[in-house]
Amino acid sequence: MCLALPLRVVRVGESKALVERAGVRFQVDTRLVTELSDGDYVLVHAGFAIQKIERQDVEEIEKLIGQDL
Amino acid sequence: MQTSSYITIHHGSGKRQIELLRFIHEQLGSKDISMDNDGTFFCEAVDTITTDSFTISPIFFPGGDIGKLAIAGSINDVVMMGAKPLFLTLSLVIEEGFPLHDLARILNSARNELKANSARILCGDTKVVSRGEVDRIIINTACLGRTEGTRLAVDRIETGDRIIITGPLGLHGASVMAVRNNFEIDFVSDCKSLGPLLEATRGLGVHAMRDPTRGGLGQVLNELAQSSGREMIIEEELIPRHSGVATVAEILGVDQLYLACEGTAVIFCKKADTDSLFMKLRSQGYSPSEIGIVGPVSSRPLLIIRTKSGAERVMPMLTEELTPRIC
Amino acid sequence: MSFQVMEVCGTHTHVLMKLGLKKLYSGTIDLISGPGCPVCVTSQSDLDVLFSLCLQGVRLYSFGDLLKVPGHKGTLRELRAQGGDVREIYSPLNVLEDLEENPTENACFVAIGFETTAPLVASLVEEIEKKSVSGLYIYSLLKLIPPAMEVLLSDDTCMIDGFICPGHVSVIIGEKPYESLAQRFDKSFVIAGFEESVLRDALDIIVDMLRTGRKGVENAYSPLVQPDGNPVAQKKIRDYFEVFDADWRGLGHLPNSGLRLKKSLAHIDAEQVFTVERSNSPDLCPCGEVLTGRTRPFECSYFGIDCVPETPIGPCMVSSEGACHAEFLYGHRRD
Repeated sequence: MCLALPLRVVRVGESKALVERAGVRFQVDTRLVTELSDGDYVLVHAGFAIQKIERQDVEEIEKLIGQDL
Repeated sequence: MQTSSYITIHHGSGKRQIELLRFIHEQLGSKDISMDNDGTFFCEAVDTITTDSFTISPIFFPGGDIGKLAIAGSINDVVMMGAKPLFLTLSLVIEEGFPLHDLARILNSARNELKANSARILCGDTKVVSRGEVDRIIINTACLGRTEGTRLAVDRIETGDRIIITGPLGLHGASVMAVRNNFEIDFVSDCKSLGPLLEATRGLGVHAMRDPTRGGLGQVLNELAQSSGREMIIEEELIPRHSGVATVAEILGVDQLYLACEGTAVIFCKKADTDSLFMKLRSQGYSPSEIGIVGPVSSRPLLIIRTKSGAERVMPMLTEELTPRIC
Repeated sequence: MSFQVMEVCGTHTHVLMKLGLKKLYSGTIDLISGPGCPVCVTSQSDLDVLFSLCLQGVRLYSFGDLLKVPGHKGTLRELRAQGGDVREIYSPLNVLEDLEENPTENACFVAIGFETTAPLVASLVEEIEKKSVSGLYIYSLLKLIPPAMEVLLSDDTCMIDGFICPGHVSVIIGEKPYESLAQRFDKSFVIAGFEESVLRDALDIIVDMLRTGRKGVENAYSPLVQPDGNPVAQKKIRDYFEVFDADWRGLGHLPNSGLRLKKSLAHIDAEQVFTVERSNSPDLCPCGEVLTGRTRPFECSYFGIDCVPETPIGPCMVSSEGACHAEFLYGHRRD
């Protein structure tokens, strides 16, 4: 349960990343995911990235969340 | 007064107070406020009055500030009654330590908003309180107006009236929440005066208007359902989705239909006149949508929303402040 | 004859009702709401502890949902109105930011949630240790989903044929915990997301599984849910927490169902550092029966009359994901 949303990674920092969707951008903590690059997608819960989404899966994710990423 | 300095408790009385008042009058550019008399004479027919206090945090937000909000807010309440806003009072309660530069900014916003509505401040009051007694600044405005055409009021709402919104919902609430949570956004608050609605609704079967401020559409329609004694039904699919507002709401786990609007109105209009109303609203620059209908009289008048899949759900009144949830 | 399927997760309860799916599938499966709403399963006793801490002058940081739950002495929100230092935060790391801007002698983060939130709390503990933050403590209300499911399944009177498993908890824990439950109890499990088409797919899958007698676990939320879940997050939890028998409102103490700080972290465990008062009074309402699916919300005598969202008696009505709250909002036409 718990709210979590997929967002696109704009810029990876040391232990944080700037994520974005629909013009909304903010920092998330990335210590729970590994090998993140700019342009990847992550599932975000309460200010943390909890799962990396592979780029080839983005279309499927968009279907899963019913919206464009 | 130097604009880099701060308001101190000494500005609350005596010589320093006169300095502060002169500063405020200068920023407002008001020709009516008297420094000498306790009040102001005026001679005009007015029949509508409203008052409101503003305590928003942050005081500067994307799309406006507390000065603009304090003027637009009270002006809008008068416009919602179908009256032309003419005069305002302005009261400030300022915490010591408040930067003069910020006060100047706020007052200039207020001035611009007044100008846009050809409205005037007739009188005001300023108090300075000790640190901690108020959170930076509270502004109260009262607005006087005169009805032109038919009076708009809740008791005129009828079963069968269409529920129309003048633009996207939740822009103000979402932009303020975004700032508080350090989100960057590419949209701004809809904070603005709704004066043009008077012209747009004139001569049409418009029964009532309301701007969904605190608590948004969900709260306002609930209040109107209670006051009018009638059920209200809205269709989720007909409410335009603003992707920025929706994203902020989804991230924070709040229902976007309860987010505040400060420059959008809900209009109750009889079916026969909705086309004409839409044309006039569009010519004024609004993006109207018909989102629902006023239902029958009911002993328990609820606000119902029909979801995209056809299920119906009750939208309750807010019992408390909207808070983000994570689960 | 319809099958009994439990959706464990509070968010699923909410979405299923909102989309009218419970009604749509009612001919084939009977969907029962389970105990996966962290606010709903917070015991009165734990709430009393929070009150006790706050009255001692400890500042409380909490997620918004918890502030509205009525304990014996009222809600935390009411306590705040009376002068208690209670602050809402969105992310656990906000606690450190706020504490730096507004220092105080003693503060406590109330960690409420399931496996989705546990790694975040672990990260906060990591920061506290790394930065040697003093005066900040943790009170853990973190609970685990599979042990609760195990208790429900172990009950002889259990009528549940299958489960819709919580999507985001599963992102962390993966498929394996459900596989062992499926084997032991011979039931059907589907891991589901939260969007309409995804949920429908999941429901169709479980209907198919039940009709054909197929047991085991199907993942309808991949690739977000990997078979092993998120191992980094799981390790983070293990680094700072140990499992214990937590107190679930309405279910009692469930074996190995909660997370508490390891003994080596007793210096930041609010329960170890402060003297706290607990009570053991019974619940006012049959929330426990609702949480285990034995009673439906509308079967409760308080429902819709004394217990409504504006004046909730129990946690199932307080939380917007509680079974009673969801039923009230979406099932209104029933009366």
